[in-house]
Amino acid sequence: MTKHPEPVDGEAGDKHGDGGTKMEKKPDGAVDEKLPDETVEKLIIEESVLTGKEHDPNFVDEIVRHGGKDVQTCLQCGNCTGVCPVSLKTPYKTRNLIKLCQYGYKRIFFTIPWICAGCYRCYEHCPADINPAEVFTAIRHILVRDKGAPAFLREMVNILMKYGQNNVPSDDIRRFRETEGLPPLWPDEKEYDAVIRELKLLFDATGYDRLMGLRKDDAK
Amino acid sequence: MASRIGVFVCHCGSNIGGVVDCPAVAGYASGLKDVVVAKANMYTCSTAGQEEIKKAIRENKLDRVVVASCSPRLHEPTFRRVVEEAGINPFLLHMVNLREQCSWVHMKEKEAATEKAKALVRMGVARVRRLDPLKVLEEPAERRVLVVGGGIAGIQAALDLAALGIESVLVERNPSIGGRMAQLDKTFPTGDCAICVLAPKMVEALHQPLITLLTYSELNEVGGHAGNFDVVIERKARYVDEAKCMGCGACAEKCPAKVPNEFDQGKGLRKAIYVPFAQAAPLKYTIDAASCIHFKTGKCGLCAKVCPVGAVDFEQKPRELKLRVGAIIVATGFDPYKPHVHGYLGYGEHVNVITALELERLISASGPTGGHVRKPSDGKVPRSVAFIQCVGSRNRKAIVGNAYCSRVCCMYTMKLAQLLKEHYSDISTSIYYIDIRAFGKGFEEFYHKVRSMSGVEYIRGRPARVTEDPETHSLTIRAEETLLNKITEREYDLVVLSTALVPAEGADRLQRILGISRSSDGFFQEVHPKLRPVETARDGIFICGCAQGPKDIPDTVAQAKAAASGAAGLLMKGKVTIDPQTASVNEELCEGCGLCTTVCPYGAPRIVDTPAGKRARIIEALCHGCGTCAAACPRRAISCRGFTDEQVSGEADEAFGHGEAGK
Repeated sequence: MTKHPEPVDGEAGDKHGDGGTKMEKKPDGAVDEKLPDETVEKLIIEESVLTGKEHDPNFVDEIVRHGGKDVQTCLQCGNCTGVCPVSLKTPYKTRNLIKLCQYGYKRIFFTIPWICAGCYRCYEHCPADINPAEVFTAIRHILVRDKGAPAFLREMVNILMKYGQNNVPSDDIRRFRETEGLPPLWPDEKEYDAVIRELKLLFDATGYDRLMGLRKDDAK
Repeated sequence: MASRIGVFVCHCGSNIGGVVDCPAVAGYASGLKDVVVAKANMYTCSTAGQEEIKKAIRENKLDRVVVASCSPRLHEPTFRRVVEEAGINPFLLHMVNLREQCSWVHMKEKEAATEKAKALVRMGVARVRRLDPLKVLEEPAERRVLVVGGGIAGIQAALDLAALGIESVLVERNPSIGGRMAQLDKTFPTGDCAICVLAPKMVEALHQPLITLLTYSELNEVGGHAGNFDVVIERKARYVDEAKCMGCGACAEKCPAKVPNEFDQGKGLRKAIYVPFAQAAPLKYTIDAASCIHFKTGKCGLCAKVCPVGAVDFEQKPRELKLRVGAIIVATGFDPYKPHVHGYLGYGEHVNVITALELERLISASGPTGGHVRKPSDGKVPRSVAFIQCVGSRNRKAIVGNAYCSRVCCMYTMKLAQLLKEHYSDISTSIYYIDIRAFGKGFEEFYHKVRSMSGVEYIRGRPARVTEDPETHSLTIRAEETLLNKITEREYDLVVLSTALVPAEGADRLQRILGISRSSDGFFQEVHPKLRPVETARDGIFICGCAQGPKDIPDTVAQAKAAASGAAGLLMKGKVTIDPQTASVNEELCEGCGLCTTVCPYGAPRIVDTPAGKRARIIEALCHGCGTCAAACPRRAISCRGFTDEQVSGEADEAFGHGEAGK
């Protein structure tokens, strides 16, 4: 199997054959290091004959229960793929992922649902009136329930709890601004103390912090 | 005098007998009040079973009969005939449903089912004792049929009726008959020229003495009922005397007003005085007042000056025509779906995006370009064409709302792809599809032929967007080729949208006039999708062709023939029968409040003036005996024959153990 060069923008999907390695390099940290590094391509190539063992007959019902309605009635027309900004730049095609849902290929979704940007363009175009974005949200719910939250999400929530915002400038940027004599982006982090207090209250009340591994039951 | 009732319990093979202890039910029935004879039988509906009922009636001098078997929907007519042949009024028969309502639903509780069967029979005996003899009413029927819509469906129905010697009135709202089929170039899968096979039928309809052609006319009112409908037809003003016009065309030659021709889907021009197409029947000119200079300014009038027979009549007024017909056939066809809501496909925005029917007119030798396909942007022959399937079909989005498959688009696209290839051998064609449905006779073979043609490519994917190069006006389609799992972006000269078939404009108005229903897709609804495909819920009104749902020409013709046969079957006898189980009004109780007229789905009750004041009357021919009016009447003045309060409560009393059935 030949190794393809790293894809550049516009060469989306040109990665058949070496799946599995790309995901770990994704800058958005979509891969949980504890989960198997399986991608659509890798699984499809390795499991060249599907025997039904990989098939989870309850997956569709589970998705529907979690809000991904009508996933069974997808026509596989591919309109969603064509309008999906993620499909355009990655090997993952919205339509194909919906097909994998229908097949009950749950294992594949250990990593994938987190790459959906949630822009809902797929829903806007879908002739079957399915909402793939909400199907992926449903799968996220299922995965967090089954496997716990992935590391990147826990990290994001950590940052949110610490700073009251989910985006913080990196240390590099802080240093750069300092050396260039620019004012810090957050002149007064105390501004966010009230936000952090409210978030803590909410997370505590809903158990979200426990779900994200931020609080052990015996901690309080 | 006490009744003499016979009860016949049917095993229906093992359908009832396998669950219900039929001899025990018969034994129980023989002990009920007024029951003279009770028997269990293997198949009561068989000839032997029927003979046994007749014999029992004769030997025991029975005057009422209960048959405990299947649903009355299945065999009530059979047993009514049996008792009538033995000298009993057919309405003194009652059927107890031991199959659908007992054995089939209680298969695992045999003893309880037997007890329920006994109770049902007890109720049936209580009911039959209270029934009144009724007489089937008859009325002479008008042997004339109104056919609404002059496309291939309406033409075929009228011709078939004429072949049976039945007169018909064919109403068409456009200036010529011919309909959508006349707009097509060729037909799939055989490639016959559409107008070449249609025109002879149009001419035959025009000259057939039993067919009255009313073009440029619309149906405005329908009253009455099966056998005797009173209809009002509006003959719109053509501003040309049909009797005088010879169709020479001198008027159109001189007419200075040019407007887009609807027949060519707006791709060509016609004059304000026009015939829509060369083979029009009747070949009579029509002035479109909205675009005529004379009607706008009071000047011009060139057509009137050049007409050699003085047929132009600017003073003509619309006229109303009142007719009595025995049956109505609705053949109003379809309209092509308007794809404007799919902004991302660029129709109406990018000049080189057209619909399939527009391409049909461009490729037709009688079309505005004489059969030469030209790009709207620059008039050059397109070198690459893309078809986009399912535009407006199979789309559950609320803004489209057409969940159905239009059935013909896969096939007409194949036909157009083949025609393009025949006209321009180096043209390349891509067809973007979701699924290909080639279900008809010879269709799959045609699909195979088109797929095997070089330069025809099938891409399985629904396009996400069509973008236009602002300079060259060439179009780029982005779509996933789902079978490759790849997003494609390909450039084309011309994009053709294979649009859906939707109910013809005015279907809602016609629905109100006719009082028939439409299914959720908007097409007119048949009574039974398999066994009564061309009948509507209103007796005497039939539907055929695309008015009933999208379909191809052979299916349309077959349905038109079926509708003609249905209408003929109704009218050939010369009289219509009316089920006597209708509502009737006790005028002493009625106060003429009119509530019944508002609740009746069939328009059967009317409020009339009597010497005693306003009273409700039921037009029996319209009444279906549904009982809605009887339930609504605040004075309990209305009752339904065969379902009177006494009859129904007698039955109910037995159900709840208050009856007197035990001797």
